[in-house]
Amino acid sequence: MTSRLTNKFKKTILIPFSFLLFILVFTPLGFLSFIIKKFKKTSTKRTFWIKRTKKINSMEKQF
Amino acid sequence: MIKILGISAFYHDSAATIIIDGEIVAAAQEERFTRKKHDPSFPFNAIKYVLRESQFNLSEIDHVVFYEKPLLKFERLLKTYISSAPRGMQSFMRSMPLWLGEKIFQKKMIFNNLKKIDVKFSDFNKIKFSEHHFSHAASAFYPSPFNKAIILTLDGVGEKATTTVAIGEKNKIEIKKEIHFPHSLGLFYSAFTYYLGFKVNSGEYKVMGLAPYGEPKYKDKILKNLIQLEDDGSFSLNMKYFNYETGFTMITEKFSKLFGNQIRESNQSLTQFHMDIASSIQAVIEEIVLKICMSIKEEYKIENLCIAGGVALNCVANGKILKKKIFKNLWIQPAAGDAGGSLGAALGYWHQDLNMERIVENKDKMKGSYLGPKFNNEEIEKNLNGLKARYHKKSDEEIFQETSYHLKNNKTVGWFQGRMEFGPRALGCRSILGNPLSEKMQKDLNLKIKFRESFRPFAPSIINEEVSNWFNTEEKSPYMLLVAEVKKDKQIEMNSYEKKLFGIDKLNIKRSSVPAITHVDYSARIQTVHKETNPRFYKLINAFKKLTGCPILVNTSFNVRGEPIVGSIQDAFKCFMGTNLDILVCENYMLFKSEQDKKLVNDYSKNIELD
Repeated sequence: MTSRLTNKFKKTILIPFSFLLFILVFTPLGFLSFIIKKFKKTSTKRTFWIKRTKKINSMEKQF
Repeated sequence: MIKILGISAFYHDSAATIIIDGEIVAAAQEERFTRKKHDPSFPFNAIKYVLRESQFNLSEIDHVVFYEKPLLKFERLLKTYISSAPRGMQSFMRSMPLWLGEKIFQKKMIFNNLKKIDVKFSDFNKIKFSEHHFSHAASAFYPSPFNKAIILTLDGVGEKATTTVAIGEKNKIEIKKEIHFPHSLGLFYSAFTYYLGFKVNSGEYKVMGLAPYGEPKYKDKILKNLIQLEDDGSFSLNMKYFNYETGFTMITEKFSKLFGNQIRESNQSLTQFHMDIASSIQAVIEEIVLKICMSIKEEYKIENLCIAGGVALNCVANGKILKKKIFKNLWIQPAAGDAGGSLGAALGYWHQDLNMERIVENKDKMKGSYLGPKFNNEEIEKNLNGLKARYHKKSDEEIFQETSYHLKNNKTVGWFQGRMEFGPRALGCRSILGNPLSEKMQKDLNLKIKFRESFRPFAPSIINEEVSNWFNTEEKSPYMLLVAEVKKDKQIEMNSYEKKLFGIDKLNIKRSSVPAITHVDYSARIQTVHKETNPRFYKLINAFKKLTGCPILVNTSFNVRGEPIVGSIQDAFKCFMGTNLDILVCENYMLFKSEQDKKLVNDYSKNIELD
């Protein structure tokens, strides 16, 4: 990255925000995803290819 | 006239490309200017260079296309953290502030950086974003000589995809299917690179070079435990053995336990075990790539294949695709890694989004991949004077005659000519050359000039018309991306004692009449030299042939271990004075080491970083 974040902004806002985000949102979702995976039927498919159904978005978009 | 600037950056091998009305005008990697190998930073220097070459200012450029879509990448990151939480917290805490603080605003960041190059650049909407694997696919298909082809892209990871299969026809590309992160052939190979003590995203060539010294003893173990491989070549990695998804290392402790040895320290010597591991992973990769190729040929029934992505630089696997004759024609993008993404992004926008026609010719549109900066004789003389170098100015004819004479006498030559190559290979413009007939050349070049491991092989550059007389192939390989065996009548059969030798001991055996370029398994990574794309190099090899009867030269990149290929005269002279190179030839100027001022010697070997 060419421009670095200011340490103060990173320390006071971004790092605590990331920590809370991980504890309050990602961890419960992670457990939920773990439980869903546990109960999901094991796939018997013989391929790991994923068919591309969605066309590539226009290059105007960042997604 | 429509001018498009393609950019790749922020992961590794950042680069810039400019195309004008669909023609590739210039392309270069940032590392060649900043002298930081695989430099990931925003390519200020490469952009300035391609603009200079095109004779346009940045504000006159119509579109700027970045090689991947940042928000898709961010989405993949979030999904990965969710599916693995509470693991990955440390990695999350490190990456999230960076994403939330700046990476998520990549368009603005690119705009601000472009403004630093040209304050008049003011149209925010000129900046577009191509998908990572689409950029690779476009870099492989659009410059190829095919009207219709299957396009296979294989690399570490882009946004979500790690492997894609697409169909290219006329000016359109359609991605048909893909395999998603964390299941990645590139990262799979890199995990072994890491296990063998080499640098990830850099040392993969070493694994490939080491493989022929070993036996694929662990192939079954890998296929049984680490990867599930289906008949159609699709695969899924067993993530219990890999840590790269949310951790800071490539592999877990379980991985080391599986093979019974700890990760090799970079300064630890290589043993037969390491060679067997390299041989095994190479064999697995080849099997997967061949399975994919056979299955997509069967499914789409198209005779042409284009390949790109970092895994496409595995020339041994490419050679196997050719040998199996699965496809009638094969074309591999020479800048197959992320640098080539800048080219693909620009070409992709031109053909796919602007719907511009594509004219297919018999030859590809890469111009030999000679797309970088060039220096004329006046500039060279001025620079050499500034460096206080002692030189001789020669005519073209004298340059070819005298250089070939010195090569015949086993002198090593730094060959700095014409436009710099785009992509990781030196193709006879920024090359170190040697005599392939010499038995000592491989060892000497590795240890005294490149300061690297003695096992690493060197590639032959051969004049195109002669290739089938020396190697078991008739294919053109202008980009050094194919491997073929030295012809039987040029091989020297090993005696019973030599056959029993293992690993590195095989290195000292003379295996063919061109020992310096013959690997231990009689293979060679060939570059065919064509008079249309590199006439000076072609003439030099011809002059060498007249003296020796051999139309081949040893060709290795003009750099030392850990350093990018030289870009400028200054870099070339520094490398010349810092190594045991005997002669430097810059266009029509010839420099002899023995004549240079001893005060200018700069001992490189003390400052070598691991590559």
